[in-house]
Amino acid sequence: MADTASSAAAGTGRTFANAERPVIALAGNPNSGKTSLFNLLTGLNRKVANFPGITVERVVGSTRLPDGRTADVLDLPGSYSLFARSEDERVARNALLGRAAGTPRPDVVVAVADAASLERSLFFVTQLFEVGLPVVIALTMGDIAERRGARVDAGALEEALRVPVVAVHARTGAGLSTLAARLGEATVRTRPFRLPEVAQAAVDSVALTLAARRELPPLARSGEAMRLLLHARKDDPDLKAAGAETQARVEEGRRQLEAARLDREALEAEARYAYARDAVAAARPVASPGPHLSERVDKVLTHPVIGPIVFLAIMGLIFETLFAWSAPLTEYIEEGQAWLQGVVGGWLSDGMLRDLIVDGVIAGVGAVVVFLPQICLLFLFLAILEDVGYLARAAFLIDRVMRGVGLSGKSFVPLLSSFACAIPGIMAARTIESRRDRLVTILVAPFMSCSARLPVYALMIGAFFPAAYGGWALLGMYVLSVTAALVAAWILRATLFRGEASTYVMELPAYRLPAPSQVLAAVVSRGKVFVTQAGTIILAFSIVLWALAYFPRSETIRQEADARIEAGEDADAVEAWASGAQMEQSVMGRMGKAIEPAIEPLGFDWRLGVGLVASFAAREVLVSTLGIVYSVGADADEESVPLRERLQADRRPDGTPTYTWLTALSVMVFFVLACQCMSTLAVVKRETASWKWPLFMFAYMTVAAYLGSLIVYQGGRALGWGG
Amino acid sequence: MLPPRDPAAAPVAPAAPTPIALPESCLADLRVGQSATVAGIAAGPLRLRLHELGFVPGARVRLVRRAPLRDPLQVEVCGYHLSLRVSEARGVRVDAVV
Repeated sequence: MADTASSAAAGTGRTFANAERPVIALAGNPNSGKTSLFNLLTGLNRKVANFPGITVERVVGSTRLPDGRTADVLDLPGSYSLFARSEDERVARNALLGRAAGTPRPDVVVAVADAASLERSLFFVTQLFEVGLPVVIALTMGDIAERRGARVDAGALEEALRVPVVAVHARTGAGLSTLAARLGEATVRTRPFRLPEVAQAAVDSVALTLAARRELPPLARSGEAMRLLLHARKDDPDLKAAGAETQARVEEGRRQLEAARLDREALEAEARYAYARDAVAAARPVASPGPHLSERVDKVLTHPVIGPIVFLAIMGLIFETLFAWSAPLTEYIEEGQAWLQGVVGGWLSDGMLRDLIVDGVIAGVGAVVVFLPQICLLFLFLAILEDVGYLARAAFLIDRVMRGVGLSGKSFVPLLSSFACAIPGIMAARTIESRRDRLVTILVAPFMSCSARLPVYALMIGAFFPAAYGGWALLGMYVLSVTAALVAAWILRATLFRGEASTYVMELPAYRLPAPSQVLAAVVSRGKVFVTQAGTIILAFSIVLWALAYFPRSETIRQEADARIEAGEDADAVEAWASGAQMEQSVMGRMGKAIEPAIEPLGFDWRLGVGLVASFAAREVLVSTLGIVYSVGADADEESVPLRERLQADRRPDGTPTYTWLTALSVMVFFVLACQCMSTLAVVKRETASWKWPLFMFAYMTVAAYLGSLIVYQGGRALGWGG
Repeated sequence: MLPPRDPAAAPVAPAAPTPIALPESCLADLRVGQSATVAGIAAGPLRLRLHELGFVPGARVRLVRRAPLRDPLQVEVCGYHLSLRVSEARGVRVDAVV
């Protein structure tokens, strides 16, 4: 059945050898060095998108082949099996069969096999044989296997498997040119072992019914038939699509297996592992590798006492970094934005175009870029920890604790990161394989009190709390945010995301030194994805919000302001008054007034209403918006004394103060619980590939915020506080 | 749980040695450092995944350690390490190896 790449791919006539721009698929287990290999092949030259309609990422790069052609390299999601039921694995399978929309069928598969866990690797590699594409094996982690005294002979493995096997070092790139040179020798194989007779007959009978399905490559029929027969559930989309004839044969086959007392779910794995063991025995003189060097490291890092201490220290360092180290970078960006606004504002003459560019576009782009330091720093840490192998240990240590709210250890890092900013936290949730856990983690992450809430806390605490209680109030907000996230996770797990406890089974990869180039590649690619994909949505929202606060313009206000300046009044004060008056009669100002009856029970007046609408863009916008509404000027910040004084001095028509410490508390509770951040919503849209979840998130968090504030304000009033 | 299999029936796969009649125990019962061979996996959503990860009948497993809160477990199978929860490890039937 061996057939080289040059004569393969029956039907289309397209082969790796004759394609003008061949497509190489990279497939392998997680932690097999597949991504490192991809980075080596493609450099930083890649496109990241989602497969249409789903959350699985589609990463394509390009590489130059030795013969001068350019090839596209498709990095398939890392998986342990091609025939299993998870979304990632279905994507990998469909891409290899040429059934993924917008992704051409690969011409050759590079199967990445980890020499240090070779049997498990070969389980997956031999499944790759069954999609009917020419295969080359890249053998990675040879150094680790060797250190454990179990050197793998690539030549002997090649002989046993009858496909080219090239040893590569995914860190240094050794062997890469040989791999590229041997792509043309890639060999088409089929299932390399036989199933028990009854099962084989049933597979053949199902395969016959698949012949009519032209989208399924002929050489992939047997593999697909086996999967449908042995593993497909009733709701399997491919089984449903296969038609009544196939379904009937599958049913019949399953009855025959049962009659023969064959264990349907186990028999593929048993036969495949038996084949893999034989192949490994042929290629590895030592029967079983010696103990992991990692075991000694694990003795310390997962030690009952030292383990948790190291864990807390590392998490504390990440937290501190996101908070403190990113602050100066964030400030530079904000200063740069202000500088640019000044310069561009100076070039353009007064008018709508200037306002649109300065306050809409530049401010919108700034809102995107300002998150970059935190995103890049978090991903720098995550990439290092993942590359080293510690991330899996962190999940191992904390899993028992996270289970209390129905999550697993894998949710910990995303939630912790969200203290700095929910955006990198939500992006980090992609390390969670369970779709249910991942969604719950994403949906509760924005409760964690992020750094953008600090200006709001600072303004409110500074203006309305005595210094002695300020710290307690701030601590209270953090406690509230964590409680809200955990309670929400628990409720979501008990309602929308019910079902059996999340599965946790997770590989603990061998410890390794991080490779700087890999870490850099991970950081750059994440940052790029954020800027290009979330950034476009954020920019659009910014312009819309700008327009809401800008239109309609009142000529009367302008004329009055001009007249007052001419009459000798202080120009700055008059301009501040004018922008406040313009804001009041803008669409946003009217929205603030329109929602006043609804927010009055929370203790908010229409000006806070305007602040709420405006701070949908980003929470900290509340401060500058209040600055405008109170005619203090747009550059008001949380330390601004005039703004604090205006807030303290403001009186209702009946002479009572508009704001008390109870109002301030109500505002802060609202800001802890509400999803006032379009960037977060844009990222959730990107990560879940649908508008459903960001809209749900916005709705349920807004309800939670309203109820939280209502309870605080009305409860406080009932107790006679804040009178 | 897996339907009880008649030991006299034809062996399922040649790779799996016929289980010796020992008191039934599971992966979660092993002592730290103890090795065993897999006898079978209980029915359930995790069964296919565990098979794919190498928990096939006859495969050697070793309990490497327990997490500080006693759960989850670190286990070696097929020469690599993975972690799974105690509740998940209860589904892996093993024959104890001395």
